[in-house]
Order: sequence, then structure tokens, then C-alpha cells
Amino acid sequence: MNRTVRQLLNTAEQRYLETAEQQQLWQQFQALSSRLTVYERIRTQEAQMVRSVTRQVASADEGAVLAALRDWVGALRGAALAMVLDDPEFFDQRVGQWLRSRPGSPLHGTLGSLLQAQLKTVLGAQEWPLLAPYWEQAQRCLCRS
Amino acid sequence: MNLDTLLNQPVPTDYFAPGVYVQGDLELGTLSNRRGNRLVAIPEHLVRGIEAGLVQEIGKATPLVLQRCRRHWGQHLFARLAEELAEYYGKPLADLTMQEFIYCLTRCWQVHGWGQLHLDWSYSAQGLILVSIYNSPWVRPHIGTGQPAAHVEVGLLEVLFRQLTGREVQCVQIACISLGHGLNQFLIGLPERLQPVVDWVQSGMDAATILQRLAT
Repeated sequence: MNRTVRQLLNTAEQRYLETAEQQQLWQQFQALSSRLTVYERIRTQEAQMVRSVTRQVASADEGAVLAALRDWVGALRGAALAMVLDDPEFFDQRVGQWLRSRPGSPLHGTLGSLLQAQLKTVLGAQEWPLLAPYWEQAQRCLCRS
Repeated sequence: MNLDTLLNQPVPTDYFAPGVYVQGDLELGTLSNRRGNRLVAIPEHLVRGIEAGLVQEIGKATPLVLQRCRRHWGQHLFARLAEELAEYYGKPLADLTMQEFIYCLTRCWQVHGWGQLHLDWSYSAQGLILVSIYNSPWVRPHIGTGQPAAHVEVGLLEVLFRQLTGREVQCVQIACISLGHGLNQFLIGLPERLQPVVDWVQSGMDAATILQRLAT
């Protein structure tokens, strides 16, 4: 649950929500619907995007690619869920700190850029901005150098 | 692992992630971890009460008893960690990288409210590991007994690292919140490596001087 909704629900514990507050709640629920659509697209396209990325780094060491991809797949799933909840803190607590503890690899940068290109293609100009802030969070965790 | 496995299976991330690891059931009035094992939130006053009661009943033997209790707890904690982490990450504990294990250990400390644990390998050339714990719940600040008093952590760390390394390592506390320091600090290593440190602590030497001596 994101911070705005949580705060509104806490407010509603003591009194009815005012019109502006109800409006805020409506906006959150409407945005949730769009975010769930993006989430579903990422879920169904994940395998295709990742396979396309691996084909582009076919000459690299397979074990190292898989290890770095594993981090990116975990990051993508965490970012997608944080996007649904519209909650950067959720990303940081659930996966961000873990990702920051992962051993750095030059492949993180390469694979991250390739996967980002895939995501932009799959999501398009309308949907990519919803995921982008959370994807950037993941990039900050995995591409530290 | 191959690509199909990666794409068709859950990718484990942070086992001790807050909000997932600790769960409460208000109906039952219970807390449990993500495997359903029961957790109990112990009030600080109970911790203080147990120690005060022990001091009253057995006096100078209190540190020894507390360390024994924590060794017992440490054995169970290690066994539980080994089982839970192996199940979650899909590989035996021995196959986790040291980085992964240390991360899990520090998150385990955080999520249980035992403070912030930091491991420092700068003294590995001397055969020692420096462990720092901030916000420890086990000792009261500034009670001034003259000697470090985090007996709970000494016993717990000692047994954890014995299980982890398979060696009879010892743990010596060199800084303590009870003595006015901002954290508890411990050195862990084989007894012959630690003996000078034990002597320095008993003579009242402060942690900074001890660490400086080790580094030279």
C-alpha cells in the first residue's frame, strides 16, 4: 500500500474523508488500474524480453550472464510490483537493499541497458513512464560504478 | 541453472525483508516469521528484569550463565538460519556466497530488533574479525560496571561463528554501550590469536587503542 493511501486510511480512522481527500483516493484507484495493466504486460513479456537480451550477449560467458540476469529479473519483478503499489519504499525494502549487496559485474550495466531498451519497446511511450522511476531505482542498485 | 529455470521459477531476493518476514495474526494474538515459526516480542523491561534477577540470585556468575544461555540460543539460531536460508535460496548454506550470508545475517539482526550488525574484515591478517553492533537491546547505556557487559552477544556471536567456521573460535568484547561507547564491538578469532586482546581488555584498554595495536 502506498504512502498516500495509507495516510488517507489513517485519517479516515477518526473522521470521514473530505471531498478533496476522497478525490485523492479515487485518483489512486484509477491509477492502480493503469499500473496493473503495465504489470500484466511486463509479466507476460518477461521471457521474450530476457531471451532477446541473452541473444544480444551470446558471446559472453554464459554463467556470468545468467548470474547477472538473475539479479535483473529479480529487480524487474520487484520494480513492477513497486510500480503497482506506487511505493518506492516498498522497492527499497523488498529488493533494493538486497540488490545493493550483490557482487558488482560489468555485465549488470550491459544487460540493464539491453533490458531497458526491450522494456521501452514493449511498454511504449505511454506505459514506460509508469515503470521508469522504479527501473531507475533498480539501476542505481545494480549499476553502482 | 539455465535460462528456462530462471524464467520459470521465483527469483529469491531478501529473505528477511521487513513486511514479509515478520507477520502478525491479531485474531490469534501471535507473531510469526514467513515460515510460520512463532516469534515473540520481548519488552526491554523483561530483558533488564532477567539480568537483574540473575545478578541478585547468582551474583558474579551472571555473565557466565548469560553466555551459556546465548550459546544455546546461538546453536538453535544457526540451525534455523541454515534450514530457512537453504530452503529459500534453494541451495545449502555452504553454497551461499559469504557476501550473501553476511547480508542475511545483518538483515536477520535488523528485522528481529537486535540492532545493526557490521562485520569488518580489516583484521583478517591478524586472524580476527571485528564485529560492531549499534543499538543493541541487551545492555543499558552508561551503567558503568568497568568491564564490557554484552554477555548475550558474546555468547551468541561465538557460537554462530563456531558453527560457521567449524573452528573453536572465541569472542571478546572490546567496546560496550554500558561503558559509554556508542556501540558494542567484538573481536572473534582463535584463542591463541585473541589472548593479547583479552589481556588488554582486562587491563582497561579502550577499543581504539586495541584496534590501533592490532593494526601495527
